[in-house]
Amino acid sequence: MSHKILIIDDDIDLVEAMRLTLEKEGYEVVDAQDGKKGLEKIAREKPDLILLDVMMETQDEGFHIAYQIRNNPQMSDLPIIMLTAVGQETGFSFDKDKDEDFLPVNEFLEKPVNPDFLLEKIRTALGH
Amino acid sequence: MKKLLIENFPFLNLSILNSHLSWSITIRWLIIAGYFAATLISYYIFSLAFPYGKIWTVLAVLTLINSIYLVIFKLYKHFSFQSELRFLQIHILVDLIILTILIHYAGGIENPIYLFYAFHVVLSSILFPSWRPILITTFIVIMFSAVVYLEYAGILYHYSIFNSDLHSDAYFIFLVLAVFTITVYVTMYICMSFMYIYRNIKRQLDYQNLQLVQADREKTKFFRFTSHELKAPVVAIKSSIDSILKNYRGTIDGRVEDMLQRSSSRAAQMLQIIRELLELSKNRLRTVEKEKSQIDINQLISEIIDQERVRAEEKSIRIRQDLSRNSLMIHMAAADFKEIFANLFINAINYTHQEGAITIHSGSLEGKVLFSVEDTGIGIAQNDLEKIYDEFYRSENAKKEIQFGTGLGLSLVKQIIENHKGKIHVSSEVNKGSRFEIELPVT
Repeated sequence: MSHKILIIDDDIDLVEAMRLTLEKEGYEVVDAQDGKKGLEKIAREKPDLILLDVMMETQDEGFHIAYQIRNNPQMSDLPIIMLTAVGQETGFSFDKDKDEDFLPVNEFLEKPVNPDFLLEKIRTALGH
Repeated sequence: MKKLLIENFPFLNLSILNSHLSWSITIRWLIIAGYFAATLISYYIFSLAFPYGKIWTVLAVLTLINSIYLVIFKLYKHFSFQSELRFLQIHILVDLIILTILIHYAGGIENPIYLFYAFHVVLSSILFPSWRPILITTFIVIMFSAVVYLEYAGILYHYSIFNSDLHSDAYFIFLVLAVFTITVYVTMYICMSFMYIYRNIKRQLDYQNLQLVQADREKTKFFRFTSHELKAPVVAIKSSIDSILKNYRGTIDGRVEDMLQRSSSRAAQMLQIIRELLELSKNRLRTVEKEKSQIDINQLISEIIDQERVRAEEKSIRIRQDLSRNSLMIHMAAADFKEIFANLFINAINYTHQEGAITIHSGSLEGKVLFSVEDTGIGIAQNDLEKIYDEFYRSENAKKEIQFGTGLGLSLVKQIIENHKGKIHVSSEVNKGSRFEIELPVT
């Protein structure tokens, strides 16, 4: 059975670039352009993993989505890989081990992500 | 009314009033001592016929009153701007009454010490806002005229020092009173005009300063915007190329593959340039803003409270300032301290409901300054307490109260405090309020 991945990102070109890599690898890919549609897709498509952009309509929309997912008992175990440009922009560096408590995501990757690196992180998050 | 006062009189705030009060008490000790010395000289050297017993009694009463002022000043800490202003007005009015009694005992119109009234005119014109100087000057003219008239009419006894009968000479009295009245009112007018100009300049400076701060904020916003907007297309370009390279390697012409590889490298190069540009602008901003100097935190606290007062008033939140009487000097960048206090104070306003209260304390202890911001707001849940300093963290009840917020404020506050080797402590109870206590070393 192939795993289904939901990409929540408002940059359609970036979504297509990732889709190419992921589909070649045998994953099924669905996408959403904003947080609200993203949450609907999660409920409808039941993805196995989410690639989540931080900044969409607001500076931190991605964070709110991540919290909502974690606080919903039905999807709280869903692996989330967060993609961001924020690391360079504000000077905040994210240390996953240290920040895990308040940032409930499996990975925090800075854009652009090398395709091989992304695949490796997805495999780890899916547990195989 | 309170709001109007603050807005129209930029040189008045709690910290300034406070130092005026302390100064007023100190100078009164000197005046009592000086007056006493003067009576001793006139008694032993000039043998003038003053009613010394009565004068000394009045001085003793003034000594007692000043001691009471001192006790109130030291003990009664919960001063608001309005009550300090009232307290200072009482000082001046009591001083005027005492001075009038002393003038009466010292020969009334014969003795030119009535010129001392001019000090009160000047002081009140400098210190007090709006119509108060006019009131005080009028009070002075009425009191002095009353004493002179009562002595003239024989209702009050006239203590003659030169054995002249000037006090009963109507022309002389009229001349002195006319010159005196003109002098005090003109003095008052000159001082008030000067203060009017002075305050206008200060108001302009404040306004320009505000604009500079806003321009600076705009600049920061522009950098944020640029970084995101500039970066996003390059990220999309590089991601697309890398994706093609990964997935079609071997199936495309070697020269095409090579060209795509070069494109990917150039996109990476561009990302690096954007990064460096941003780093550069950030560092430049930092060095400009972060010059350390000796700053008085009481003064900065009062400034920020004045700036944000309108927001609190919109929600009818009472602000109580319990600031230490002495100035609290520390060696720190003023911008850093403002960042700390403004964040805590604005949070307190944001998360306190209508009719709530915010209390600011400040003090010092063994080479440290301490201050706290306490509110009667929504509070922080026990299990959120340790997370509030995390970047981007916002508690659930905070989000309910105010939807937008980056969750960066407190993390920045903590970072600055720790860089300065200080400490921050929070205690809170949901729906009761929060109290942030900050400790900063003086050096």
